Amino acid sequence: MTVVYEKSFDWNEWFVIIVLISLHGLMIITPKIFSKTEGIAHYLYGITIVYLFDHTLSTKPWDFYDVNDNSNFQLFDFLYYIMNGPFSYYFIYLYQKLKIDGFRTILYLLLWSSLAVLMEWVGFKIGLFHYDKGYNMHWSFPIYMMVQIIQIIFYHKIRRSMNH
Amino acid sequence: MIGLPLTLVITLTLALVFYFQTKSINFLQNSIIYMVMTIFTTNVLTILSLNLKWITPTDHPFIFPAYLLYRDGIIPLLILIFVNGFYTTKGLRIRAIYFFICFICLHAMEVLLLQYKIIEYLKWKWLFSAITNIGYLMMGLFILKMLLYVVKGSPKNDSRI
Repeated sequence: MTVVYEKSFDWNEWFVIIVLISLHGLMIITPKIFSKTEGIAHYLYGITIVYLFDHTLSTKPWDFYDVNDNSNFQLFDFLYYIMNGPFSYYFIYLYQKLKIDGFRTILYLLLWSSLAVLMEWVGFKIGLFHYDKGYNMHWSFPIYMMVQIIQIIFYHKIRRSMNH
Repeated sequence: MIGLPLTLVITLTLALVFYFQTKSINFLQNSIIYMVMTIFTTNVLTILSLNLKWITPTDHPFIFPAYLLYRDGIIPLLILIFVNGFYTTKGLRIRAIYFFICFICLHAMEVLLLQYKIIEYLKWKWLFSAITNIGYLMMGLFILKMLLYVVKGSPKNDSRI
C-alpha cells in the first residue's frame, strides 16, 4: 500500500532543486583535475551507492524508511539520486586536490561522514526522508564512512590501472 | 530457500568469468558500464514492482538478497561479459550468436527467479521480459559507444578499443 506523507510542493522539493542546480553549476566552473571518464566514474559512484541503499532498505520486505512525499518512486526521488553525484565527485576531487594521505585520511573521512549526516538531518527535518518505519540515523554515519572508504579504494585502483 | 544459495553461486561464477575474461575495454570503462547498468536495472525493477505493480519481489527477508544479487550483480555482470566479449569476437554471425547466448542467460535467470519465487509476475509477460533483456544488452553497447565518444576528445584518452 502506498503511504502518502504530503502532496504539496514545498521545502523538500526546493532543497533537491537548489542543491542539484548549485552543485552541478559548481562542477562546471571548478577546474578539471580528472580525465572525463574518471570524473564520470566518481560522479556515478555517488548516484549508484544511494540508489543501491535506498532501493534496498526503503523497499519491501525490509522497508525501513521512505524518500520524499510518498512511498512510491517519483520524479523527485530520481532528482534526489542525481543530486548525490556531485557529492561523491567533490569528495574525491578534494581528496586529490588537498593531497590527503596517511592518517589525515581518517580525519577527512570523519569530516565528510559528518557533513553527509548533517545533510541527511536537514533532509529529515524538511521531509525529504521519513523514518517513521523504524530507521535510525545512528546507522548512517558508519554507512557513509564505509562507502567513502570504498570510493578511496576505487580511486586508487583507477589510478593504478591508468598508470599501467 | 535454495534460491538464495543458487543465486549466490551464479553471481560468484559470473564474477569469476568476468575476472578471467579477455577484456576489450579498461577498468574505468567497465566500472562506468557497471554503475550505469545498476542504476538502470534498479530503476526498471523498482518502477515495475513499486509503481506499476506488474511484478513483485519476494516478501521473505532471507530470500530478498537473491533479488538484490540479480538486480545489482547478475544483470550488470552479464552485460559486462557481453560487452567485453562482443568486441573481442569478429564477424557478424559470431557476434549474433554471442548476443543470443547472453540473451538466453539473462532470460534463464528470470526463469530461475520465478521458479524459486524470488519474483512473481502479476501483470508482466514473458514477451515484455524478453524485450527488456534485449534492451539491457543493447544499452550495454550504447553506453560503451557513448563512452568512446566522450573519451575521443579527452587529452587522457584511455580507450583500448
